[in-house]
Amino acid sequence: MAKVLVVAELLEGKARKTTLCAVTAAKRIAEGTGGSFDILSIGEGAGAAAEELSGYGAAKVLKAEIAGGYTCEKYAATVAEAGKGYDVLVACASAYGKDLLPRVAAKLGAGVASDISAVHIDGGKLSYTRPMYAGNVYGTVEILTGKQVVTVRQSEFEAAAASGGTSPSEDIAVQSDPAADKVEFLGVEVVKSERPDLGDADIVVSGGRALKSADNFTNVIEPLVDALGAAMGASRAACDAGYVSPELQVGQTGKVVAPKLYVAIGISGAIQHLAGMKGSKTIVAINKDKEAPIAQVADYFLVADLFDAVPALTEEVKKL
Amino acid sequence: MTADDGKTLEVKRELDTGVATVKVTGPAVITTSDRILHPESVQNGVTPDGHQYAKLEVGGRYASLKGIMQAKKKPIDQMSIADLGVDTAKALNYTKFELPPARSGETTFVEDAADLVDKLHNVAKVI
Repeated sequence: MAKVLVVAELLEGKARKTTLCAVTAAKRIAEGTGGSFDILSIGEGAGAAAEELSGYGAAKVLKAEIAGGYTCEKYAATVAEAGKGYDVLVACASAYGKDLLPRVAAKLGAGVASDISAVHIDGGKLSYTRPMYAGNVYGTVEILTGKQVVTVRQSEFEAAAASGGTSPSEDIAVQSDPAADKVEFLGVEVVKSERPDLGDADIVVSGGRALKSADNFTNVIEPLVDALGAAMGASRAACDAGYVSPELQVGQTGKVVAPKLYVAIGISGAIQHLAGMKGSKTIVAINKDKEAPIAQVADYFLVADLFDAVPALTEEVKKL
Repeated sequence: MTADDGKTLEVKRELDTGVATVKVTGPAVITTSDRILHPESVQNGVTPDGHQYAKLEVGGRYASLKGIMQAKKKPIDQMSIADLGVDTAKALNYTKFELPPARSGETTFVEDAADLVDKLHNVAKVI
C-alpha cells in the first residue's frame, strides 16, 4: 500500500518528458502494492504544469510555485516537507533529479536507490535494479529506511501516456531553507534545438573523434541526422575537443540513451561510451577499423571511411 | 568558476538542457566535472597568467613533483565516524549482483551504404 510522490521536472513552465518516465515508475509501484501516487509540480509555472500533469492518473497534483530559476537548496525543503506524507519519492535521474533528490533524502533520513532500471515488487516489498560500474554489473537493492527515495533511468521507463480524467490539484506552502540564501541563481543558457531530445529520441546518430572538426559535424553528420529525423549525439572525445557542445555527450559521464536505432560514426567504442548506448535496440557502427571495440555491441557494421560512407548513407536514406 | 570578491564563487553547472550559472557563498561544497581538468582551468597564484601550457589532446593536469613533495609534508587529521556525527545505520541492502543482459545476435558486416539502408529498412525495420 505504498503512497508514492512523483517530483516533476519543469522547464520554462512546462513539465519535461522526464517527469512522465517517473510517473511510469510511480504507477508500477502504486499498482503493484495496491497504493496510489501523487505528483508534485514545483517551480516557476507550477500551476500551468500541474494542469498539464492532471491527466495521468494521479490521485492528486500538488503545486508549489517558486519564482526564479532552480537551485537545489531552494526546492529541497519544500519537496521534503511534501514528502513526509509518502512512502516513496520518485523522480527521473536527469541532471535535475540527481541534484535535487539526494538533498531531499538527507532531509527525510531516507535511503536512496539512484538511476534504477527496474522495479520489483514481491509480496508488497519493493526492490530495485540499478546498473553499476559503467553498466557492467546490475545490482538489486532494497531500501531499509521507512521512506524510500528513487531516481529512475529515463531510457528504461517509457513516458507515461495520458490516461484521461482530471486529478484534483492542491497548493502547498513553500518552505524556506537557510541554505537557499547561500546559492543564488544567476541565469541559464538553454541550448535550443529543432531536433528531438537526445534522451527520448527514436533514432540517435553520434559522431566521434574521427570527425576531426566541428565543421565536419555540421557538414557530414548533421545532414544524416536530419534525413533520419534523429537526435545528434557525440562521444566524450568529440565533446572535449569542442566539436559539439557537452550536453550531446553519450556515455557514462554524459547521457544514457536507448533508442530504436543508434548509429555510431567514427566512434571506437570505449567502455564508457558503450555504457551510455548499449541498451539501444539496433546499433550500427561506421568505422574504418573492423576490430574497434564498438563491434562488440554493433548489429550492423560498415567498414569504411566515414567521409565517403556517411554522405552516401544520407543519400540512400533520402531515397526511402 | 570565478571568485571576484573573495567571498562568493560564481560557478557554471552543466545541465541536460544547457548551462546554468549560480553564485555560492561559502562555506560550500563543490564537485567538479572532470572536464574542468585542463591545465589552464586552475590558477594557483604562482604560475603567471600568461603561461603557455602545453596543449594536450585529451584534457589532463598532472601534479608537479614539487607539489607532490609538498603534499607529503601536510599534517593528516584522523577523525572517527563518531567525530563527524554521521548516522551509520544501514539504509540499503544489496540482495543480488548479476551480469547485464547480453546483446543477442551477431554483428552483420554490410557491403556499403545502400546495403546498410536496405538491412535497416527491410530486416531490422527501424527506418
